[in-house]
Amino acid sequence: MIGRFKFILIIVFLFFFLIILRLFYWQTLKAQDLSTLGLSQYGQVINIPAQRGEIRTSDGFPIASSKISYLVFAGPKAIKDKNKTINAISSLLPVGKASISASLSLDKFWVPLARNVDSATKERIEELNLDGIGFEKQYTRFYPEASMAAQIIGFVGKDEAGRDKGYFGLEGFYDRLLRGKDGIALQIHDVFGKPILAKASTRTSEIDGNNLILSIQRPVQFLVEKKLKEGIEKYGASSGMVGVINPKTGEIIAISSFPSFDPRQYQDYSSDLYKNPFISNRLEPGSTFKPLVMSSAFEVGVVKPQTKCPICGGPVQIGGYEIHTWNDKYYKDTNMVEIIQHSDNTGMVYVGEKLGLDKLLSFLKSFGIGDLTGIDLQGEVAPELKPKESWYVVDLATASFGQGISVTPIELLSAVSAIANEGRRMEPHVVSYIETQDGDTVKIQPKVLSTPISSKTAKVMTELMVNAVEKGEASWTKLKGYRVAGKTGTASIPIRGHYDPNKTITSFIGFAPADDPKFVMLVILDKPTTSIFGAETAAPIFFDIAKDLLNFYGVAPNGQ
Amino acid sequence: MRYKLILQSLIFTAVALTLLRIGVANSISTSGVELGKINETVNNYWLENYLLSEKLLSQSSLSAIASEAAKLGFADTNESFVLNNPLPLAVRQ
Repeated sequence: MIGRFKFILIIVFLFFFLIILRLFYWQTLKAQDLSTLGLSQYGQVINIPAQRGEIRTSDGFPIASSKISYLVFAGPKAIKDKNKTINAISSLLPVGKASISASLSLDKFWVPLARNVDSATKERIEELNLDGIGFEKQYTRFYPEASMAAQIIGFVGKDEAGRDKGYFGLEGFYDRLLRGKDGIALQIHDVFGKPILAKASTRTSEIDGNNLILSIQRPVQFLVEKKLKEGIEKYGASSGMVGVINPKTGEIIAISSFPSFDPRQYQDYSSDLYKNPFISNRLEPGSTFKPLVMSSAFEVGVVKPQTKCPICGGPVQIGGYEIHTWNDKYYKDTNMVEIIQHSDNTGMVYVGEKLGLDKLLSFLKSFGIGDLTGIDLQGEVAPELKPKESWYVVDLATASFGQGISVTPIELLSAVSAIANEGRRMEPHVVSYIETQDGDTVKIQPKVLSTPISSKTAKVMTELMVNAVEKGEASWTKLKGYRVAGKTGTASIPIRGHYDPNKTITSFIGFAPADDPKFVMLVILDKPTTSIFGAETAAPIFFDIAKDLLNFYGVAPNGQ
Repeated sequence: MRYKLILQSLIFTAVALTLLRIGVANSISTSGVELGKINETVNNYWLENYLLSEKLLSQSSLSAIASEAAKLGFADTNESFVLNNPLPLAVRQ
């Protein structure tokens, strides 16, 4: 009898144990699945897209904003007359009949038909009252200024999960700040599928992205792009770029390069054009590098402006090589002022020798050569300086006049800005401040990166550069009535171990007004065909832009 | 006595607020359609405003203005003039 009781008791316990196990299975292990299944029967999760933050120029105008577009989708099982739907939809959407027909023949509840459909098209489709066609609101990038500053902005593409993601430029660098966070709404409906209003508020709000306010000045950017395109055409160059910076704050005023791409149809362009060459192209600076080496020598005190060059009477033999001047003209006992004025390579060899490799490398490091400038754009590179042990005697000589060494344009612009800013090199940046959705603003403070030379040396070097503009090779194109400091550059292009004699990269770097600079500008042309010299190609573009910029900033000529 | 009065007033407030909540909930329970319409109108205005701002930005862009100016025949001024010295007195009169 007791045995039977025990047996029944065990059976009962076992039964309850099995029930508990099953409950554990459904309520713990399968809870999420059941919840999802239940939700699909009585409600619908609606994704509320967050609006990506705007990118605005210094005047507050959005150069990258968001516009509303729609994803048109269909429920193939809910469509009664598929032929009618296909004919009606295909005439309004940029999708072929065959593609729509293929989508509608799928055995699915939901198929996308077209993305980025504008509001007007959506309204026209709605007027047709078609069964089984729906719309999902989306935000797509909108560029009111079209392709202006495309390589500064970058573009918005998709990540692996199909979500918006910024690539290159500001979109890439500040992606997390711009992106925001999508919200989710739960729409509960009754047994007939009608929404229950009282339950519609179950949602998590979307958080829109932050806005970026740039130091880019829209009129200047527009002007620079226009003049650069005209210049490339006029001088038959294969490409070109211009960068303008405020030397006192490091704020980038404009950066333009051509050819570029249109961020609205970035897929149609070669991916090589996505990179901003101003921060990612390495090139030999040529003579635009001379002011950095000369000012370093002034700073150390190994030469003074009136120091005479004892080796400048002819070509210089060094390490088995013979170094010439760019025009094979030689000036015996020329001084440092004239070396910069004539862009004399032999004179710079003398300066390099006096300075020595250790000091040269130390100063170049202080000017930021070989390091990232820290500009807030995605894709910056920095060609490293060779280690000291790898430098031959001839390397020191050629580096003194900007050959055999490579820099990015932004590095060069940043380094020369130090001369314009009393010896202080500022961190270049494109964003002035960030505006959060709460209305708070976060200002990006100017930052001094280094002080390679003293204020006194900077002033002396400025005078040498003013003299180079007034009396040098580019004097024919100088601005009357303005003191502009500048230096031309003509760099040969290294190909398979030697330099191409017919192709050059021409450049001009300078700042104005020399006594209180409003901007420092670097103009670079790649392989101009009308002339291979910077003084005849890049310099006229520089002065053409500088004239308008000085006018724009209200700087009057001094009446000469 | 004082505590009793505070307690009574708290209970009264709680009951009054509960009744008020029931009253308000009852009165708006049949207004769902109206609330929906108001919500829809607000959304429509928001959308219209958004689309208009898009148009405004497109039309006020420098590229659009430059293109329109070129069509109307405006040209860049290549020369600017500056008055550095005061004009002679005789001319000024």
